[in-house]
Amino acid sequence: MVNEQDSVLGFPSGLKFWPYAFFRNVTTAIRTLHLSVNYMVGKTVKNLALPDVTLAPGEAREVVIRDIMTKEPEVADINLVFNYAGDYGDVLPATGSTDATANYVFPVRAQPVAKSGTKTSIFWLASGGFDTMYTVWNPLGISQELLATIHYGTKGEAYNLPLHLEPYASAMIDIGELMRTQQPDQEGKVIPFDVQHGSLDISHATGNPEDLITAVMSGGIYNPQKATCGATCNICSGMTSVNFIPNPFSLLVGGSQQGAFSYSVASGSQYDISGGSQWSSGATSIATVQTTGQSNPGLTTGVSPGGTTITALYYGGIPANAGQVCGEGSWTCPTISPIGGSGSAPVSSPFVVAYSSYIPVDHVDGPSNCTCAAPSCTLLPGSYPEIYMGDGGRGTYRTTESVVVDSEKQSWNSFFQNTGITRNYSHGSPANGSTLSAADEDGIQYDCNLWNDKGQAPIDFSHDESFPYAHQAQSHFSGSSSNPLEVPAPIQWDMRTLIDTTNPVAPTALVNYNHTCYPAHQIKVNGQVVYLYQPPSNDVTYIFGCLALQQGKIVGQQSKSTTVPVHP
Amino acid sequence: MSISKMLSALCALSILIACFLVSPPLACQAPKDDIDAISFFQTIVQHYNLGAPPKYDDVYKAARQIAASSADDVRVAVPWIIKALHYPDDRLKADAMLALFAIGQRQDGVKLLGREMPALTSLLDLENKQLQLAAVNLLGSLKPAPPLEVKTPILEFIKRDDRDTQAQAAALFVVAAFPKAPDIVQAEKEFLLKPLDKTSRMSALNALGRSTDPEIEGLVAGYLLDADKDIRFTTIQSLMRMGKSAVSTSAATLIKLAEDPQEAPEVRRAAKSALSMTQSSQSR
Repeated sequence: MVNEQDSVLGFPSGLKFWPYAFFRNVTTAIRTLHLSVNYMVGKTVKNLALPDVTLAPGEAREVVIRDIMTKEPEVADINLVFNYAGDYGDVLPATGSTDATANYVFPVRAQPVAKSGTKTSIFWLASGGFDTMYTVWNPLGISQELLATIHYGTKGEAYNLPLHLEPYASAMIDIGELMRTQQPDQEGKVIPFDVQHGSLDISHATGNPEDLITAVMSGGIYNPQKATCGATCNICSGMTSVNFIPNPFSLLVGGSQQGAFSYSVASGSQYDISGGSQWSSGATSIATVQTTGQSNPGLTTGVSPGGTTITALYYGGIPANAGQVCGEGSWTCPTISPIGGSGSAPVSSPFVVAYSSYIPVDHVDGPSNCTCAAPSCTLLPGSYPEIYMGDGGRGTYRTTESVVVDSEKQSWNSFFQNTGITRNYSHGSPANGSTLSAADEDGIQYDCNLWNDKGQAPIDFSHDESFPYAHQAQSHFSGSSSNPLEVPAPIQWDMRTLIDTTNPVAPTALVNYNHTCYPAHQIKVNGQVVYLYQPPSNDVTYIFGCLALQQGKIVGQQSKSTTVPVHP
Repeated sequence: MSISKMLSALCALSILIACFLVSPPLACQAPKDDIDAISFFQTIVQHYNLGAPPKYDDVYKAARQIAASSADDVRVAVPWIIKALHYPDDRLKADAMLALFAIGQRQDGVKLLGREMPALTSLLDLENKQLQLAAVNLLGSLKPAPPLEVKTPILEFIKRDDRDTQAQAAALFVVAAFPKAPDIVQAEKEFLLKPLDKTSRMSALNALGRSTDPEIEGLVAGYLLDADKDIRFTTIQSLMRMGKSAVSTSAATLIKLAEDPQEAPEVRRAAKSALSMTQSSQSR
């Protein structure tokens, strides 16, 4: 800020500002400063090269630039540029502007010129006689389209002020002036009079953090009446966190889940970069993922049971959140590339373990008799043999239990149990001479002729599931069930099925089995039979021995390990 | 028995005896395909080794072959089977019961076993609960029908306090096959009123499904509100077997069960099925 300022800013009439610049070489070597000044005359940028300044080790010196003011009395602000060969911090600058009495002092912190993301001034004040003024300078030889966004109010309202800066041009933004003049932004919005404070972003005109800018922003909070001034506090409004979701993935074999990769910036906004990221899987035999260029980057698909990691890398060069730089220090807001995120992807495969007992033939003789006595019986009084409908090859069962276990998630669900309907028949069945059929279903109970009775055993069996080791699941079924139409002679079973997915592409199952020698007992895993016992006989004597006497039990046996399908 | 069959039987018997005499008992097993069934139990009784009982499949084959033999051959075998029955080992008793069951399944079963009925009913005195239950099963399945002389021992069995209640409940199935009589109804009522475990209770309810006694029907219907869902489930089925009248009498409770959202699904289904009986023409 130089010369007499616009009266609208409220400074006392006749007050003039003069630039000052002091430099100190804090090294033990000579440092030569190459200096130039940029300033605006109307809308025209002017550049003035200054003589080099050589600083001896430890030397401090003032560079007098106030002469410019006499040449350009209409100039309101200037930008001093200096560079030297050496490290950042070799030369300490103290620059700014002041009035002749040194009561009004605007210190300006020197800033490196570098690409950055959005720069944010975290606080401006425009009340109680205070005002805040910003200067944005384009240090490049090409024009830049920038956007100044003034945030205010409890709801975070935004006032957008596009800034077109020609090469080396600068623009001044005075918050108080915008309010006092009620200047509308590009959407016609104005900053209300009662707003007292807020923040300001300088970003690329697109507002996208990845569209970098090279701009120098300086600000000052001042009270023109009380002659109190201070610098604004600025930060880099870059990336504050990366977000990789979901983590972990929840994948079934053959199932898919869309992964998303994004980052958040200091303002709280979140930017999705899933589509532009390179996605990869730690083990494609377990899970695959689509990457950039494919139809659904981040879409992850389970291949086989196991665990792997899905990674996303983005090479877009996202500005970092360099933190608050209210004090001394570099304010370059560096970019980061690549940024990465990863999530674990346990791929699980549900295994449906199903036990069933069934009578393997279509019908069997029963032990008891149907006693025919008037009036319910239409046959000659006497006893007639009873036969029972079996399960044949119809897929029906006497008893069944099933459960879904997951060796990777170490969980289970969907337990099911049931008993089959028992039907008995008597004289005249099978009506077609060999197999029970609709012709046997006369629907008349206890007449000892054709269909006679039906019933269903209670459904109350036991099960427990355990997970002995990683990649293992064990299902334990046990129970006992009798034909409700006969003197109790229970079918019994106690079956443990161990699923092992250590080799995810070829999971195995084996069965530890204990059961009565009648009827057939079977364990299926994902529809594949892994254990099958077929009784050698279906006659009534064999059944009596197996069930009424509980002889011939098959106990303490183990099936061989069988590879089972992954998909149910 | 034909000469060739006798020769074959003698040959097989001599092989068996030689085996028992010259080899350790564990190595002794009846030949699988050519068992001398008639002398099977004679051999076992004479040479029984607790450490090496015959395999179930072999006993089954022998029992089947005995049952398939001529009545004369069966009569030869039965005394040895009864001896096996009295052998102080439950495993051998079970083997003998299997053979007796197989014989009892013949249409002349009662005739062939008639003289042995006291021995058969004495099985109800065994201590082994499994054998008590099997004995009930054996007696109840005699062909062509259980003889009247087993009725009294079974009724007494049901009334005893030192018997396995599951076997006693099973015996209700057997007495249900006899013509309805006051002593049977009395035994049924007394048993149903006893404190019973769940399995015995369900067996009793299943057995009483064939009763036509109104008082029994009322007692059975009382279990529609039992705390155990399996007993409620069994009771509904028992009432359905009793017939339309029994179901109609309990219709109000059945409606409650059918409409109770907290009720077990199978109980609700059974109750709905029972109620549908009252709307159909089906009766017992």
